[in-house]
Amino acid sequence: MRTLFLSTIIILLLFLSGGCTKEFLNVKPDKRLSIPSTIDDLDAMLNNRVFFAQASLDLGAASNDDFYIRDEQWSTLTSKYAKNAYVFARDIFEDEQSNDWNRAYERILYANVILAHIDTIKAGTNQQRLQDEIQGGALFHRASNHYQLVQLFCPEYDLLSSSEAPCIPIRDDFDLTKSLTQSTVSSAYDFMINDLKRALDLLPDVNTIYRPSKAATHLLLARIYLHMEDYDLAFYHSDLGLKYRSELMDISILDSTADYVFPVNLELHPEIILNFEGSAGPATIAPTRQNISMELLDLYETNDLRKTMFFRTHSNGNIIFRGSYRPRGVHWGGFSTNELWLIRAESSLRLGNISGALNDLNYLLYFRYQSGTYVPISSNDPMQVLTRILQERRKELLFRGTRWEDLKRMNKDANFAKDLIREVDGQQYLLPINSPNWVFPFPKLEVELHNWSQVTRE
Amino acid sequence: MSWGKEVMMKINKLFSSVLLILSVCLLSMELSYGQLVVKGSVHTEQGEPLAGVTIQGLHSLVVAISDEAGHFSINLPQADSLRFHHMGYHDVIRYAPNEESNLLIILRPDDTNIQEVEINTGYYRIPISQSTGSINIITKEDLEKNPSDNILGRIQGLVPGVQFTKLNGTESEDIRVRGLGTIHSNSTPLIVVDGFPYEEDLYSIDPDAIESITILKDAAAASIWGARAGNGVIVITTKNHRFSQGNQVSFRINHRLTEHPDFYYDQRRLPTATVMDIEKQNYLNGVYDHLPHHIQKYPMSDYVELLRLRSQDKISEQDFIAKESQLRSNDTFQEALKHLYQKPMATDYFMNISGGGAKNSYGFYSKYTHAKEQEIGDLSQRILIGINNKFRPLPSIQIGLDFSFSNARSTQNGIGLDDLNVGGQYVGLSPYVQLLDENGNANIVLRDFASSYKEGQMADGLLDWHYRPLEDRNLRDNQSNNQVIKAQANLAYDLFKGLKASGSYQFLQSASHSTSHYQKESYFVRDLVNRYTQPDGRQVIPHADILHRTNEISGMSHDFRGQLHYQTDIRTGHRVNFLVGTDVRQYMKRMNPGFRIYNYDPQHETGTTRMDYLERFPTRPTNSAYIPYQPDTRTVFEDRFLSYYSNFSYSLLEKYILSGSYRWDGSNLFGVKTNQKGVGLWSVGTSWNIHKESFMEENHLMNDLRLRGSFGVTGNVNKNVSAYPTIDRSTDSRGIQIATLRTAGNPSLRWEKVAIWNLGLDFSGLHRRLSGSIDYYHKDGMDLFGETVYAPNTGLIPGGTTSVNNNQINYADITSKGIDLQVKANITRNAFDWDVHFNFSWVTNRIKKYNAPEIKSITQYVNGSLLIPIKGRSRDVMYAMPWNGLNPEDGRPIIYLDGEQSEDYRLYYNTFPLESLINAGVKVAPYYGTIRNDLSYKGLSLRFSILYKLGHIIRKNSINPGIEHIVTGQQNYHMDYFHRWEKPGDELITNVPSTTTHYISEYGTMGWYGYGYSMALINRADHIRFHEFGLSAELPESWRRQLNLRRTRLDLHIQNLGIIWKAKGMKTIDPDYLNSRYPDPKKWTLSLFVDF
Repeated sequence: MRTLFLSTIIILLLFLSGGCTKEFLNVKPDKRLSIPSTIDDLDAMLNNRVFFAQASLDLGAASNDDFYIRDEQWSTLTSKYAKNAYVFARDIFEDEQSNDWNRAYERILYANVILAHIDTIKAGTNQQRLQDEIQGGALFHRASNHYQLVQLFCPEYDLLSSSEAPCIPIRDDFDLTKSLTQSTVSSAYDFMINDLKRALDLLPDVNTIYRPSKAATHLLLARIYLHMEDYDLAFYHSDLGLKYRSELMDISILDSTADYVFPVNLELHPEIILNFEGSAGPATIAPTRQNISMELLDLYETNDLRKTMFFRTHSNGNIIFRGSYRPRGVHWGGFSTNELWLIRAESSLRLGNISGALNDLNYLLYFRYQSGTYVPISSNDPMQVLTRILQERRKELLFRGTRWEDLKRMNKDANFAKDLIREVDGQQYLLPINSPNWVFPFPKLEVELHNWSQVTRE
Repeated sequence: MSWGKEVMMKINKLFSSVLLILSVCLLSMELSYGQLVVKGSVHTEQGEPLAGVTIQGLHSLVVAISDEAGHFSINLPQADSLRFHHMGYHDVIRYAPNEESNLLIILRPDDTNIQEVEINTGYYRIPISQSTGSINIITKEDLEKNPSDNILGRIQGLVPGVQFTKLNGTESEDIRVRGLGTIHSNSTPLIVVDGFPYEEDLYSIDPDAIESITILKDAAAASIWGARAGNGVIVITTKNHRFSQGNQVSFRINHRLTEHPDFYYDQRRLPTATVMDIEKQNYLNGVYDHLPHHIQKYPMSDYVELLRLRSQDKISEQDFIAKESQLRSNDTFQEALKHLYQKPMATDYFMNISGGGAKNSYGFYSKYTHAKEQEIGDLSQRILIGINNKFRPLPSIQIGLDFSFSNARSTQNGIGLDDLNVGGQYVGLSPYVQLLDENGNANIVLRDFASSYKEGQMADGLLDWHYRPLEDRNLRDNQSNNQVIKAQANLAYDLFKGLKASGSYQFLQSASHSTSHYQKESYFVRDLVNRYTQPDGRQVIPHADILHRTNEISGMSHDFRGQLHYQTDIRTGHRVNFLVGTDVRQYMKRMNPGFRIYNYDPQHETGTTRMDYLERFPTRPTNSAYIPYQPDTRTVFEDRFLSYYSNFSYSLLEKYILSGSYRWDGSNLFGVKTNQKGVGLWSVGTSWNIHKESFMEENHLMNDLRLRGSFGVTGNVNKNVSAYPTIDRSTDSRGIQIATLRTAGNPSLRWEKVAIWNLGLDFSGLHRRLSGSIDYYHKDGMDLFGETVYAPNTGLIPGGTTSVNNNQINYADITSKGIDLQVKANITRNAFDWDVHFNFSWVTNRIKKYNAPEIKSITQYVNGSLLIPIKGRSRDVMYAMPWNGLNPEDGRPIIYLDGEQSEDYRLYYNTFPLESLINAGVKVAPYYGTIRNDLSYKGLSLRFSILYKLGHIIRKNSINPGIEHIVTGQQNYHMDYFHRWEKPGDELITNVPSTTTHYISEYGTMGWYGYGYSMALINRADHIRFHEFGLSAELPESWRRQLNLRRTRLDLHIQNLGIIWKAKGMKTIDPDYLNSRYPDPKKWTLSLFVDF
């Protein structure tokens, strides 16, 4: 009896030690490795520069019609994609990887790691708001980066064809071993909208310019609905966005003699909602190479302050852009209130509300002209007003990705569609309306690894 | 040497206190508690007394052992049956109801049981005939035959299937057990000491204190060790005392002497005269004039400086000629042997005391080693102490307490050849260094900067900047220390018949660090002070002693094991063994920052660590730098393992045996998903003792015949891959806390698994004169880590924040198969005894699944810098480019570009198609083994062993055509220079290309691309080596009796006797020392054994 008792106790002891298995094996093997495990860790991840240092806008910037470069500068370009994208070549990356593609997916990885850990952390009651803000921020970034990729690598949204049009893979998990399938344009849009709607419930109305807010989310949603030609919702979101952030800057107060006119401290710029610095941009738009197209410069009226504030003459004689919100660099890809005004104006007009559109447009332009010289536009012709709104989008939102998006969006509208033409060494290169070359190819490595189909370029 | 005295005093103290404890134990042993005393003696049929017979009471379990005269005495608590057992004899059982003073027992030899050796798997012991696995046992006697101070050195060549990839290897990385079961992970076997995994320096285990080593090679044997057994397990058992054993004292003294190294072995050199000719040629060609002006600060070789002085008329022609001929007669190697090297000498003093009564047994050993190492000024000392105690307070309870301590201290003040390397950009190790001048004063040796530059600086008021190696040796003190402490407690309790519960706990702690003290006058201090002397002459670093302590590395482990073991009696013919248990292990490794004290005063132990580390100071001759400091990072690693294991075996009539095991292993290394944290590993095995069948009874040729088969799955661990996403925290320029993702983690991480098949046959016949075993095995590494290409859409991107190096996932497969053969033959005639052991192993591996990105450049394939596994090939494969001979016109390698003969070597190399690379062979020998001979006649014995390795290849080094004329970058001289093509017709007798006489020649450096990686330098590496020789003499028995000694032996052992035969083309090369400066020199050991 005694031995039976003893052996029972020993067996119990042996196997009870398994009761603490989970805790025993959950210790970190290397103390310096930090596995994201606290709200603080995730908060710090969301502060990382990846989220605002480089937005994926290079390809669109390299192909748009706001600038040109001289022949000899094109032929000496070493950046393959910049050279190819400039002339709308069939092959863009050759064997190289795509910086736009890669960086966007790196940001998506960060967002996914945050999202995978945010639910496992039990936040204290005083941290609930921070936890919501982080989760909302990560959702916003995931959507925003998918949005940047969709603009470059997928056909424009189209109600009829989008459920089948091949689009980028959607990454909603950080598991590296998960091999992705392609999405379609409509599923990509659904995914982004879904993330952004969840983000709206979690984010604060306004935030620092380094972290997403409701204002930024409404702006992104408004952009998305513009592409989807759902002007009701585009109006709805731009209108809500303006409820949170609407301030505009009177640019007449800026010093037109400075090399760089906007506040160096971005937080002092009243129009910035969310800062994306953008990369240095394709080599073609480097200040030593770019030439602003005369077609664009001619659109500015003589009393338009932007003509002097946004441009200057480089020492090599080129007219170059200096109106970026980024103190050192051309490219800036963030969100600002002027775009909200322009989207609300456009969607009002498309919904038939000419006076509403004109109110918004005139309000914006009031801050862009020499004091006391601006004559408000009044017109009853919707086409005339729409033309002007689209022109103002081009004149106002330079080198921040929107030009490429607008050009691509206008392919669907015979009134505004435009063939793009480049001329190098006497040879003309053409990107005609509705050409498959409006969609950039997937990087070669991805196609080879996954056997994906994509739009065949010409 | 005051340290040595201090330690000896400490040892004395410790020793005396241990003796005190022991004497208490001995006293307790004398106390009898039985009511019944049975005395008697045990003899053979011939009437000779039998020592070492175990006498056990079958009910009381009391044990006694017969002494040298065959006498025994046993105290029984009650009337009992006594079992008399001795290996190689039939057991005798005798009932002892009364006190008896003269019980006479005769044991008859048992031919069938003579080799009944017990194996110790680390978890349990069973007789080898009851196991189904592939196991080798190395006994104490075998270990004594090689006096190496490292445990691995002693097992080299003893066991088939254990391959030393590095000859005379001393670390577990240097050996492979049965080929490979992994591609990128650790392929070293698991080493177990006294039941627990051992991850410390193997020198801290005393090879003289080892009882036995068991090597577990297949799944049936090794799967008990689970996830870490995939590469084989080496189980070392140190305790060597038993209950009722009587007191034994053994002494052993080993004296080792190693010969001088052979510096002329390495062919990557040229003689002084040739080097001077080349330097002169370069000088005349104006090569040195082309060098940029700033390099005047950097040293040119002495001869070039001399030539320059002459051309500047700063030296008379007479002096020049005298100096030149002086240089010409110098030989750096001779100088080094004369002034820097000594014959290493080491002495071990080993003592072991053990003994045991009925209730208590003890063992104590200690060893002190003192050694003079190869370089003058290098010393080492090691102390090993072990104390083991076993108590049996009640017949059913056994308690064990063990403690061991090892402390190694070494002094490294020696100056070697590498310290004579100038370390300059244009000159490396000069062949004409002279260490002493004519007056016997230490000479200046060129170092770091040109003498002219240094002298100019000294004239400006800087400290003496010259380097005098022979003086410097006494101006510094480098000490390193390594300490291991281990304590173990065991408790075993017999619950009821056959069922035993046991628990063990082990604590281990290790620490190592090293300290360097540089005196004010040392080159280290003067050089540092000068470099940091500011333009205004201010010394940023004080001209005073510097004390430097490197990072301290400390390890600590806790191991716990609880186990239940059930074993039925054998009488019924059925025998069941059943074992369940759990293992818990925690291993921590810490690295604590060291320190650096400037302005150090050793007399008062003062100094400072507070320097201006934040400012960059201009340094001489160029640049600027921070003051050197000791990095202050601290790292802590912690590994945790948790396992449940079970083992089962059933034997019927001792003929048919079935065994199985199952084990679950968990670790903190793995798994975001908890269900992937662990892995279940299992094995089954069976064995058939054919010789016990009735049909074998008539067969007198065969004494033993056993067929074994096993299959099972063991595991392997890779610590470099992380399952978790990990981040780094920092503060950005905005002052905001940010986190950067460093690894994205891999939630699908799994353990590597190794499935092992084994089929073996053990035989013994001709009255046991011929015995051996043959095993065929097949190892499949599955779910192995392999490199992969991640799609950029994972976010793992080149230049991203997350490491793309960590791109390994579980998918690859490798398979190894091989044969291990072991035969032992014995010839005895009168007093003459001759044993021949023949070991042969064949092993090969092939990668079955691997699909990493193809690397397009052939460089990584040919230079072997990167492991590039290719499906269908061996992991050890070596690639080469074709060789077409030398061009008869100019002696340059013939190459073909697009079918046309060409001399564009660079283009040829850069565009060489991967598919045209030649798979030249494997680097690791697929066939290897040993032949050992032990001859003895009366008290004299002689032994020698021969190692052979066959079937592999090496890539020889050679000249880089024309590079001897290169003055930028270190020279790469090679003796093949003398075999180079010089005139048409030479291409028939040599493959060494012609060289150029001028470094600017385009061909000069390019020739290598057609030669260096070609088949011309691939050579078969087959060789047979005379590994060791031993001679020993025992004192005759009659003398021993008179002196009351159990054993006295004098033993001479010589190791590294050199190569007997090697494949053609290797010339002076020893393939085991391909890139070494010299092969291990001959080592002589004289040992004296005295056992009381």
